[in-house]
Amino acid sequence: MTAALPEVALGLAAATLGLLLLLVGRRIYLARGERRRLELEERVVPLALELVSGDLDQGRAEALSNLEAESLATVLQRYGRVLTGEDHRRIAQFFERSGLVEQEVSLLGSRAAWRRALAAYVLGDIGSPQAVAPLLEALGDRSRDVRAAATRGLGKLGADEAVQPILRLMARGEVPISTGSMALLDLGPEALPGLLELVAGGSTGERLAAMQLVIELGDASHATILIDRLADDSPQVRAGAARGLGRLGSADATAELRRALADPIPDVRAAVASALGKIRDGESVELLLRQAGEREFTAARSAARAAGEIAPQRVIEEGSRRDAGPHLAEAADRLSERLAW
Amino acid sequence: MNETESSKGLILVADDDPDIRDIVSFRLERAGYETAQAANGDEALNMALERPPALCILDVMMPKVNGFELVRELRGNETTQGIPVLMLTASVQDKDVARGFEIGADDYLKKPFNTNELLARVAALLRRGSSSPA
Repeated sequence: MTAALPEVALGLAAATLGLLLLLVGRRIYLARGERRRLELEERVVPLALELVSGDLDQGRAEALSNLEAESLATVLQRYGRVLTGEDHRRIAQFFERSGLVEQEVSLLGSRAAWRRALAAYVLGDIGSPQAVAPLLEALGDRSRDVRAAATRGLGKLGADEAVQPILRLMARGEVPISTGSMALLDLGPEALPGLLELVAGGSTGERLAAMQLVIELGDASHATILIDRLADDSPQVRAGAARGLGRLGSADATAELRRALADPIPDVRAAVASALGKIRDGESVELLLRQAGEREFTAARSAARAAGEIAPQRVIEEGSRRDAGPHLAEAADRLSERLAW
Repeated sequence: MNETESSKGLILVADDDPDIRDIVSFRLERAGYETAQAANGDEALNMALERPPALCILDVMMPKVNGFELVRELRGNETTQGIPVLMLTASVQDKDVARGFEIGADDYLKKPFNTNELLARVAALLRRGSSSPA
């Protein structure tokens, strides 16, 4: 037994050395492949730039080898992420003419979810209108990754028909809120009609998500629809509507907001008070001072601070009185410090 | 640095994304400008001090010195304080745009962008710069 030990050790050492050589060889092989890929991409960059500017003769692109054509497609796909308008349309036309759009669309039917997701991602970067219908279909894919990639792609493509399907997926938690929101923000004001419909008639989650985006994309002219939501059945939606009105600085909403200070839910009252403070509604000062003395912490603190935004001297006076509540006293201290500074 | 014989002026393009540097420089050179490229804020500042450009196109998020800090540095130096600056920003936040203007940027363009719009803004900034009193 002990006599066999040196042979075993030698065998193990040889196996380790073999493994090491294999790893080094693999590393060298991969590094060479990467260097070759970078060289090829560098070579096609001038062609890609000419193509994006509309100066490239299609014949030159067709004369490329398969590897060069692949590199050109990779570079153009990257350019597609940073360009819009005519430049982006030229990239899309190149991919359409070369059959790459069709190829990626067919890959949306692959068995592997990662391949379908990658195809949806690439189609978003390419930006061909031919990809809109297949990507809309991919929103119903069983894989969350594919749905997210299709959502992103539809936003990049500016497909306004995707607004409601995307928002429904967001509300059901079937695509990440951040991905869905980014896609809808990419669509810009084009998304507003679809969003406004959902604010008025969607499920609670849909109303909430749609309202947030209306606040991001809309302006003071969209205040009416938010004012209506101050009477929503859902306290979350009511609070969201109040926050939105504050952010839009909607002076038309002050009467309804003052009424909403009587909401039975403290978080809603807090959001309403904060909105009135942002709008600087002088008529609500007395109501806010009264609310600052209520028992619910968030609603009272928010009211005291909002009153301070509108009438700082008045809050300093009220907060300095011996019988002042803790929230008014705190707001008065903050204001005094700010004024002294 | 790429030079043209009848250059409309030197434009410094600073962005850590080589694709954006390539695209912007290519379009500017086609339009008759001379360009210089920097991959980070530090490099851009050194280049601007060494040879002040007619205009700077700066990315906001850059390593070492970011776009906001770079604008502050440019505005604080006698040699570079009057150079028009156009910020390229990936941020959709209005507060970032506002911050850029507050610290002295002259214009901004959100990424992804349209190169025709970029060229139009560059021309307008240079026109404005050349018509303002010294």
